[in-house]
Amino acid sequence: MTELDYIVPSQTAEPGRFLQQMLVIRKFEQQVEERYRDGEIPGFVHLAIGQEAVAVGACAALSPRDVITSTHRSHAHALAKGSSARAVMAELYGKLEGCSRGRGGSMHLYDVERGNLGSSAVVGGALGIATGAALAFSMRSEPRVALAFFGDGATASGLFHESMNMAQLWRLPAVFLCENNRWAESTPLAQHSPISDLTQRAQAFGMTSLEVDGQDVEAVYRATAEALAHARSGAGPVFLLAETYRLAPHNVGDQQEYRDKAEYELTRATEDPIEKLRERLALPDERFAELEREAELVVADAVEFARRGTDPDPATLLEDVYAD
Amino acid sequence: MPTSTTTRFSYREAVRDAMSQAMRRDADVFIMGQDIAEHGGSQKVTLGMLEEFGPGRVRNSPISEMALTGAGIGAAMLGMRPIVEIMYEDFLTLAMEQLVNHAAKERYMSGGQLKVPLTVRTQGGAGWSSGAQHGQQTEGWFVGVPGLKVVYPSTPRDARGLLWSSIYDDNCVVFFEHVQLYNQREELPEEIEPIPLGKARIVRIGTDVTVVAIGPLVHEALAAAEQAEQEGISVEVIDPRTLQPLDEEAILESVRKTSRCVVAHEAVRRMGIGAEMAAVIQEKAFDWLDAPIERVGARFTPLPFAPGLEQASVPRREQVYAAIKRTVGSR
Amino acid sequence: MAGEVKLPRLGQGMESGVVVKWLKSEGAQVEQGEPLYELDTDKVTQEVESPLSGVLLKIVLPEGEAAVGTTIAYVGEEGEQVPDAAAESKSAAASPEPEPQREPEVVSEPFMPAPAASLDGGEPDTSKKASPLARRLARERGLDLEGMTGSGPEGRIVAGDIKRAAVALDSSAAPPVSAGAAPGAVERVPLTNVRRTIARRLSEAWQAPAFQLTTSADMSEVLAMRARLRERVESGERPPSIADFLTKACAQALIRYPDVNALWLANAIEIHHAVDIGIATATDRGLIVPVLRACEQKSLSELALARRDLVSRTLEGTISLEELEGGTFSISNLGTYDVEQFVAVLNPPQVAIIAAGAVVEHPVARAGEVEIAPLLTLTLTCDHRAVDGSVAAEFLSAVKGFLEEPGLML
Repeated sequence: MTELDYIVPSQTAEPGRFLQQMLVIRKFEQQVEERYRDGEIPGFVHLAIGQEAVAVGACAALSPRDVITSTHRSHAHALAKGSSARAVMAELYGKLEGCSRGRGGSMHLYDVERGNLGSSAVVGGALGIATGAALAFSMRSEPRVALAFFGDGATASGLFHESMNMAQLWRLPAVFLCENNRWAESTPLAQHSPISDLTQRAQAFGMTSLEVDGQDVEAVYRATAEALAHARSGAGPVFLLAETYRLAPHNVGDQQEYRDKAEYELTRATEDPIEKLRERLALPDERFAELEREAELVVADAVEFARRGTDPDPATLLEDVYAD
Repeated sequence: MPTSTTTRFSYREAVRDAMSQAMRRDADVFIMGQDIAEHGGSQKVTLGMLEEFGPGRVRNSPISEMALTGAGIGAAMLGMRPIVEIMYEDFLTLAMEQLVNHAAKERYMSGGQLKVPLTVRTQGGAGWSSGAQHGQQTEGWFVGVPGLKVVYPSTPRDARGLLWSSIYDDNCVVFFEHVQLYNQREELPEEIEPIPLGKARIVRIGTDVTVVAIGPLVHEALAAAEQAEQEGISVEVIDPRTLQPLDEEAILESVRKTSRCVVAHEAVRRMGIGAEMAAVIQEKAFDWLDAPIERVGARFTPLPFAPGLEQASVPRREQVYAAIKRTVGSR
Repeated sequence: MAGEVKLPRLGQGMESGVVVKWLKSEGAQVEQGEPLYELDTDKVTQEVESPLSGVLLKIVLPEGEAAVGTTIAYVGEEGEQVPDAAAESKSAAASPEPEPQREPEVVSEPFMPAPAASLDGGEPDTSKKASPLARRLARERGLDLEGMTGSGPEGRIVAGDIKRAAVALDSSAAPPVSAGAAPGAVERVPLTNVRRTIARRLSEAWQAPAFQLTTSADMSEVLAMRARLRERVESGERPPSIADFLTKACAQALIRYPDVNALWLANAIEIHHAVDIGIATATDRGLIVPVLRACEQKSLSELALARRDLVSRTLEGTISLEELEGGTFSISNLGTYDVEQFVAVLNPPQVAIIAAGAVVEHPVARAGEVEIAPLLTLTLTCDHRAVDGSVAAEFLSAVKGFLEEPGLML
């Protein structure tokens, strides 16, 4: 294992580290796709290729005591919040060594110790939980913030509106981080939202909103830090809109019949957050290749770990249905 | 030993007392719901609690059952012990996604990392022409969800002791109160007597027929038992009090003694909790049964408004008495 | 090394797919991302892109169904060697599909007394309406429901009726009811685990579309060889039996026709190149089939020793679970019971089983003369999903050939 096996949120803007972390996530997702196609990973998987900068930039700004809730597209969030690549990969393989002991799977990654309260596979389903976590921090006067990741699709759900309303009403320390990747599965934003500027959603509740280029990891870091400071100060929640791109199908196997091929290829060529940062850092090719290799090693180790993992014993089936 | 002083508690006061005592003892316990602060809730259960505990812990919420429940789950995951009041159990439908997909599953999906010590209190019941959306009984929808516990007390003592245990249980408990029971009264000591979840109570001892009844039907069953007694039929009445987990042993022990059983609830008969009880009894006490198990429950209709129709829809003592008679046959 | 093109999982719940056609032929240059073949899943038919760039070296699966993860082609550099396709596809096909569960076989069965036959000579009387409790009480007291009047609703006999009848019976000082089985009584024997397993496995086997082929082998040479061996073995030792010759002949023939030495899995046929033969053995606990490993590598005398050891330990019940697992073919031999010919039921997931009767002298016409020859009748049962008739016939004929000229197999 290398030190990269755990992404430790830095709370400082270190673009070099951001690049490494995004590469680990990218290689992880690519490997997940291959392992899924080979039939090694059961179920179905949603990849965050293209959205790495949002996960890495936002989680880097969180303090270790802050908590997140995530979505069905959860691998990047879990890794960026500090879960080990081994534990996340083992969970995808349904192994006992997985971060949810093989009970959760790709869409239900948990790491409570590292502040990941889990991912809901009901779109927008965790927004109430993030609101409640923020309520607990507020009632206990703890300087902690709950950050909820969700997509543009979730902003049409009832729970989104109820949670935003309640959080603003009670001035809770929450950050609602909307990753607008422009697709609610196969439905483009224009077909599910009457407004194209999603910050208008926040205006209805009088909530402070920020908007950021989700392909610029440093900008995401700065915007999240600003949102967190606002929420932590007791001034209430923040709606943080990250404009990003899904540079992969909805899930592995999705043929994207609904998506214009030229647009897709162009976006992949021009909106890759890793390429953008690499360019900005003017990284020599050899150095970048070295970083890629390191990331590949971390992921290869995670795959080996997952393959060697223990299948949960059916005799333990009923464990944890209830707390004792 | 000196006996502690007792006070006459209504069912409503008993529920309030359990919450207030827990909130006095423990800063992590709080309540939120619609109109529960100054107004004291639609049934006045929380009346006076705002004055004692303040608006931070007796939280009036917007009309957002889903977020209310979700926020309860989130706060519970962080170690608090929230009580969420859902004004009518009909409105549990609005919270159902959060209860079924989150409260019930977070512990399991996280491989045991999380607990959700949330209590969701609600009330309902027929008998006052509330119409189809303010009086139905929905406990049967929740007993089939692995990860949830379901409690339904029928007396002030049980309400107080079971609510206390629900608040301190590390799982999500859906706690049903019945509107017609709020004025039931009982002498109780000032000290809380916690009642463990999953333990039935034998309400009346008898030898010929066992009636397993919940909520208001416990009282209807007692009345029916008195009537049957006049004819020499000895009726045992059991109140499971907790529907999930169900105290199967207590029910089976009684049925093995009496060989006859009636199950009774106010919710619709079809697919009700009584059907599950009947299934358990026939599986585990088949060779002790001397008559088919009788089920008593509401007719399969939405709850009607007109008083005459409403009465025709929900079961009361007459239906329980008739079922007892059928099990005994021409003995 | 050449890269593998594996059948991809393209979505939720997909376990296998059917290759419809290849859009490139062997030897063609392909680019990563270029459509390579058409795949039919349970949802749609779609073009699948090549995961690799290079030359399409070999198409392993030109068309047909395969499990997710199966290698269906190789892409690499011009002239590069591809791994042994048969071995490769075997392992790949096997990996995503777990081995069919073998039964935990010989387990000690908690003793369950068979219920004594009821008074009325067998099955409880179900024609009378009676409550479960009344039936139980009647059973326990040995009372017949027939002729009893029920006092319950619709004339149902209830517990009180039984109690009253019992009192009446006692007071009339009727002779005590015998609990022993009356002549002609029916006995009900609860199923043991072994019997349950046998029942389930054989019922499963019955689902397979099976066919049978029968032939007779002239055993003159085997008997002659056996007589010679008998003279040569040390005193106290036994020469190889007919069953050993048969095992050897099957092993040699299976090497030649590995399609018969195979397992039928849900998504694939698993062909084995090691011959592990299940020896159907009748024990007092029921039919048990221990496995004789690596038969193809054993000499006749080694086979004989190993087989005897295996069978005797099976009869004693000291055989281990592992020795009951993993057979690739089975032999059922009822020769010692004087059965001439019979059909054996498949032992899934194996695709073939051979049934052997007793060696019996028969008149045989040879070159216009009637001779008497010792014949062994062999009936081969095959799973038609995996084995074709012609292959089965060739295999059976090879077994016959080895038995008629045993020198060829030794």
